[in-house]
Amino acid sequence: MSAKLPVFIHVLTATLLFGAVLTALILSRAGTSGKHPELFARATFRSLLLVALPSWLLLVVFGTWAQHKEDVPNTERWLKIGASLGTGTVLVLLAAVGAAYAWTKAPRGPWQSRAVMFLTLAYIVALAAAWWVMSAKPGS
Amino acid sequence: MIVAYEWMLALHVTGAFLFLGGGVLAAIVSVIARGQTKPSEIAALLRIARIAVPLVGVGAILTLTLGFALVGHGHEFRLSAPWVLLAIILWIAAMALGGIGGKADRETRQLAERLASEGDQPSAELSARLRNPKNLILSRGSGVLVIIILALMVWKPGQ
Repeated sequence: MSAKLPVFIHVLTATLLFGAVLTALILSRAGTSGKHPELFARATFRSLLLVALPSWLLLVVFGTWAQHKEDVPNTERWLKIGASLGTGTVLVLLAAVGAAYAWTKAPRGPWQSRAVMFLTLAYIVALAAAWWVMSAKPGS
Repeated sequence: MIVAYEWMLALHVTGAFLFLGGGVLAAIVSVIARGQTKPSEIAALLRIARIAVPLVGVGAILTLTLGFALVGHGHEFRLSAPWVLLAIILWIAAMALGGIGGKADRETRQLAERLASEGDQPSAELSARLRNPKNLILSRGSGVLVIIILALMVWKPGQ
């Protein structure tokens, strides 16, 4: 099997993860200020649970596989920063899924959609930092 | 010079994230819209999908311009390399398919908004438009082409 396959799936799932979390951010913003909070809450939860979480899992699995296939040492600074951002922020992603679930249970609740909005925004910032470091590879 | 190349590469990748991420946003919202029956809900979701247009547009421009800049900056890649030429052709085809599909999506959203203001009752016409096979082929085809471009960027066949 080509050594490039894990890299390809790693990058593809990273873009899927970004798209799904971005969708949740925009839906939670719209649900906070507009009509149809029940619909937006359900859509946000599905986007995070069915697209973002599986994408994160594949991202980590294929990222680790790519590292071994291409013999990238663990000591590379860009890899340490990118990997720690990718795996270390999973708690933020899980918290966003939890907040989205709470939002589906109380679509007009005072804090749920705002919590999803804040957590997804924070996750996107971390993800952007990770893709920047892993593509520019500063110091390598 | 190395720093400039690193920045261009990171911006090129950022463009790819916006290009693909915007497509994912449009796809997720469209799939959820197909599961709804009330025109007001379908219209609300398709309005969200519109946000993908500037994201995909900015991403597409960044990937292309920074891609040309990367080719011109170093000696690693040549514009005449078959995989680079194929990626450019597929980029144009993806933009064309996305543009035609986007026009159909806009007409569907306008129909949903009109139906929502006229009683908000489920409509067979709106349902058929959401599931129009031609529109689905256009949007999915555009997505598949972008994924093939990503594969070309990773494998660089013939490089």
